Amino acid sequence: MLVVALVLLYAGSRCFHQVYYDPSAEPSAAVVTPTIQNSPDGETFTIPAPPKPLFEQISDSDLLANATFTGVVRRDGRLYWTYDPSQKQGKQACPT
Amino acid sequence: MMKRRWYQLASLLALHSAWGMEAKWLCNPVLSCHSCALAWFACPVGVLVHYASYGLFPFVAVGTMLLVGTLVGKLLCGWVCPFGFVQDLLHKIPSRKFHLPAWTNNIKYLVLIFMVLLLPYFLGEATDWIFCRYCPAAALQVTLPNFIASGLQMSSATLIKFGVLAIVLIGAIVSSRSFCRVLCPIGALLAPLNYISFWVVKPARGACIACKKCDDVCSTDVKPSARLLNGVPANRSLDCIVCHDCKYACEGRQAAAAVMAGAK
Repeated sequence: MLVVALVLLYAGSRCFHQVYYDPSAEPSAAVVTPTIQNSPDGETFTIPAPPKPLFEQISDSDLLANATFTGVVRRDGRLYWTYDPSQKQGKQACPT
Repeated sequence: MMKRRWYQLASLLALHSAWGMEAKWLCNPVLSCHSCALAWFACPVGVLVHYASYGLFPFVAVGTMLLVGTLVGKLLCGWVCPFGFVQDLLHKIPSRKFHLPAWTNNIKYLVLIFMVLLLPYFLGEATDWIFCRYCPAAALQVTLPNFIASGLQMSSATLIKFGVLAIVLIGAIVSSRSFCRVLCPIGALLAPLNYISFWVVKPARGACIACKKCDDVCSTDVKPSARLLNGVPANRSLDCIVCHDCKYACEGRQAAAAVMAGAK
């Protein structure tokens, strides 16, 4: 059983889960669009922020930590974030 | 027994000292709600409920539980679990004491199977039928402080949770570790590992005088004398919480130790 436990822990370390961003969620207000100034003509170009990825791959340990506050939910056969993981949230309580 | 109380008190304080920091990626196999503002670790029950709702196998959580259980069995139940500590203290309150029938020890396996695994899997973690909605540890650590902080705002869910807490606490007063024996899903998960754990409560070889003192002090009524008389470790039982109270109470062991001391 010790071997089984170690195998499970090893499997957990190699296991990754795709967690999708909620497509209906507002884009993050912290996104900054950089500008470049073309010096001879003084023209400025605005480079749009890179598109938000469709999903993020997280480890089983990260999913475990997110499970403690329902940071991830399952909908339509996929896992979705319930918050913006790029924003520091601090301690969170589980609504269950 | 006194030594164990100090360990339990230290665990209670240590497990609830996360002023800002936390390690919620690690499951601590004791009943301590991870929604508590001071909690360091994840509660295995909450993690299993969420993973069941995800339809995923919790490799890290189960691996951790199996590792701890294989090494020490249910030792953490007897020496670390804060809710077990609360029950032990409540049982000290003078009152009429009862022994629960042995069949009630099987209820926790149904709680584990249905309220932790199957119902979240089929109905999602938002269903009202998951263990966390009725967990007495969560009621004590999270619901009660939130209830006080919100200005005593009561909802039906809060009322039910407090009702369950009250029943469990009264049960702890009149019957030792009744929640652990009857309802705790973590105890149900770790119980079989008592039979194979490396940690043993060693019998006093050849010193048993069948005084049954060990049965009298046993917290979970698992009759250690039946095993000790046959040279089997006392903790080879599903519901033993490896508290070692039987070992410390053993008169045969004490007599043998006195003889040994006298011989020296």
